[in-house]
Amino acid sequence: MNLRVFGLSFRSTPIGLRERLGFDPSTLLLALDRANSELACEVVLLSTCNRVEFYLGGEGAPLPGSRELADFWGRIFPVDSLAIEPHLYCHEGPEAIRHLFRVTSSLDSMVLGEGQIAAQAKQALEAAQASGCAGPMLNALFQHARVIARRIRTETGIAQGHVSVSSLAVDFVSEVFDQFSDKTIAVIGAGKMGELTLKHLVELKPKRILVTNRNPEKAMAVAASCGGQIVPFENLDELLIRSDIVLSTTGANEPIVNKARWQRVQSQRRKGTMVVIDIAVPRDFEPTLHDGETMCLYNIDDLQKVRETRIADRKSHLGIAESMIDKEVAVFGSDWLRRRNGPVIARLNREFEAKRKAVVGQLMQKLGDRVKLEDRAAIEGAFRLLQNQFLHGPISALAEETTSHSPSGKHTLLDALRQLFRIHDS
Amino acid sequence: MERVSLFCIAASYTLSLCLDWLAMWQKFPLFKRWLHLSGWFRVGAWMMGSAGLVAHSLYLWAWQPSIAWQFGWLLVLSWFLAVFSVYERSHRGRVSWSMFLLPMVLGMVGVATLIGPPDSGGGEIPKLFTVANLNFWNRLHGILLLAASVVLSVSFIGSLMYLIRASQLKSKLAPGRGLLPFTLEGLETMNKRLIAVAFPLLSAGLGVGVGIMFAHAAELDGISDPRVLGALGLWLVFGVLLGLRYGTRFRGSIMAWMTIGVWILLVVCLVLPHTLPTGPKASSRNSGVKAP
Repeated sequence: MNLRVFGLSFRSTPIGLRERLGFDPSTLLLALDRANSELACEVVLLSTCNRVEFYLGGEGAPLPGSRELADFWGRIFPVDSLAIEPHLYCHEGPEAIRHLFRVTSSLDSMVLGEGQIAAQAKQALEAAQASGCAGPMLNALFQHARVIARRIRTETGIAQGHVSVSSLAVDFVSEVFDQFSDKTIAVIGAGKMGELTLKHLVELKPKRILVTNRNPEKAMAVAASCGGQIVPFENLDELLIRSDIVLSTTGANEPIVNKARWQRVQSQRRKGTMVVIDIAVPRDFEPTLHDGETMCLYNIDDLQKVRETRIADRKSHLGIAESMIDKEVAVFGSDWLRRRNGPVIARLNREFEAKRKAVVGQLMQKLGDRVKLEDRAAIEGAFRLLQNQFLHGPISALAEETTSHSPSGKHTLLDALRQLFRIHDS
Repeated sequence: MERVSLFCIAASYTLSLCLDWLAMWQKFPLFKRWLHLSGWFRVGAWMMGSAGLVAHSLYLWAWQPSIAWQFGWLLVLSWFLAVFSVYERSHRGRVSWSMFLLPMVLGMVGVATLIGPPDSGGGEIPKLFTVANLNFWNRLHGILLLAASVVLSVSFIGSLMYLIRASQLKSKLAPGRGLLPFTLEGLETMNKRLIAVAFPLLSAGLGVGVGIMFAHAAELDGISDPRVLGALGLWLVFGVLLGLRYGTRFRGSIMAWMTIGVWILLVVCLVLPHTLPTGPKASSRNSGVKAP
């Protein structure tokens, strides 16, 4: 199969170089336009923050090598092609298919099982289609990749559960509460780490957000970012009494909520369970306050532990996903060869059919009335049989090549057939 | 229809439950290779659960056991729970209910099988609402207590789920693990609502029962009569429910434990008086005709 992939990824290339060679929408269009004229093959360009890859394919003309591709890349960005080439990896034929399947299924991602890469591959194909760079081979390949990625996500546990700490915090909160429209979220402190978690919590659309901080200016900044109300830090007890979910990220050296304070607060609380996400280090809430009912307290270690468990869970599904990909690589290879052979075989049949009819027509004209009607049918049948027997050998050999996958990946028989029988694409 | 036996019902429910467990085990690493089969197991579980419910319905239709005796009461109560389980699975896709309800249903069918149907005296099983001595008030009493039992049984399961969920939260189990898709808040709210529904049903049923008891005081053996003891037990259930319904201090796991206690007491009070010899009328309640 005439397919090749060149790329730079987080595994092979320092981030500094990846940043300089990554494509944004405008440079992507430019690159695809140039690829159309300069590379003379089908091209799909996949560019994400963790990888930039050129998928090159197509029947006919030879595909560019790593040097030519590095030169091409170097003409788009002000980077010396000699600096690019050593970092380039290249896969060809079935290995290129496997690579794309692994990439779109997120088996090669920095975070195993992340869901964005499949959508990014789809966008890359759409951009190539819009620029006229994607031909039948890469269209078929990327569509197949999409299907296998979806299968792997649904049939294995590779994408189960969230793995980011901030999403996990929301997962824990969602284990306790059914609805959030009547809930109050309290934000204590203004640590950087809490920003993303707060962003996720705000997406739950709580009734109100209360913000407190020793530094009123910082409290104002946080309140402004999430649409919260400021509560003076001195009124921390009141804040806890009114809250259902607490996000705590202060820089205090010792717990700001200890057992005595919690008992005081709890005696006045009319609400149910309080969920506390304590991502401060050192911790803001005494860990002994967690009882799973009146208070569910999760600190950064708890979140990290679950994250690691989830990643380990995902990794345990890797073997199954890889074996699914192995099968699909073989399936795609056979499908493609069949698809590629189909038109040639049809053309061969058509041409032989036309020639047979012409020869038989001439013969019948020459014989005129000397041949009876039933003899005419027998003669036509004999010629048809001869045609079928003649074509059986080449077509069977082509089919065998399809199923056995020639080791070189090149399809010499098909080319030979084209040349021998003078079959040219019309 | 009369060829449908309690064994058929129990076998279908058991198979459904086993398939549910198999579907759940797909989550474990050992079975991850067959993760894609879990959908089929769920479909199979749904089919077997539905088949069990059909068999259960046909059995009740064919034999119409009276709810005045524990045999019929257990079968009718378990039928309502099976309907709820199939409904939850079909309409909301909540498998967890089945995993909790089906063992209860199986337990009830099992106890009903052990006890066997009573003999009404003429060699036949007393029919649903057709026993000669059941007047309107008796029927109303039976229906109200049955309805309260159904609601309290669901609440009992909800309470068990609440306690399991609370223990999962206490142990900081990773979100999404375990078999409960319900939140702590959701389970508590549901239990409160169920108690709010069960309370008037039980109150009315008990009120009617007291009226009946006074009307037939002569047939009772005084305070030692199991029916009187059962009624006293039901008053206790009523008292606890009253507290759960209107008491603001009973929340969370306390409410869950009390609901579990109430359900156990309710079952004992409703089943026991019919298994022990009672008053002058008790002699005719030995088993005679056996339902399959």
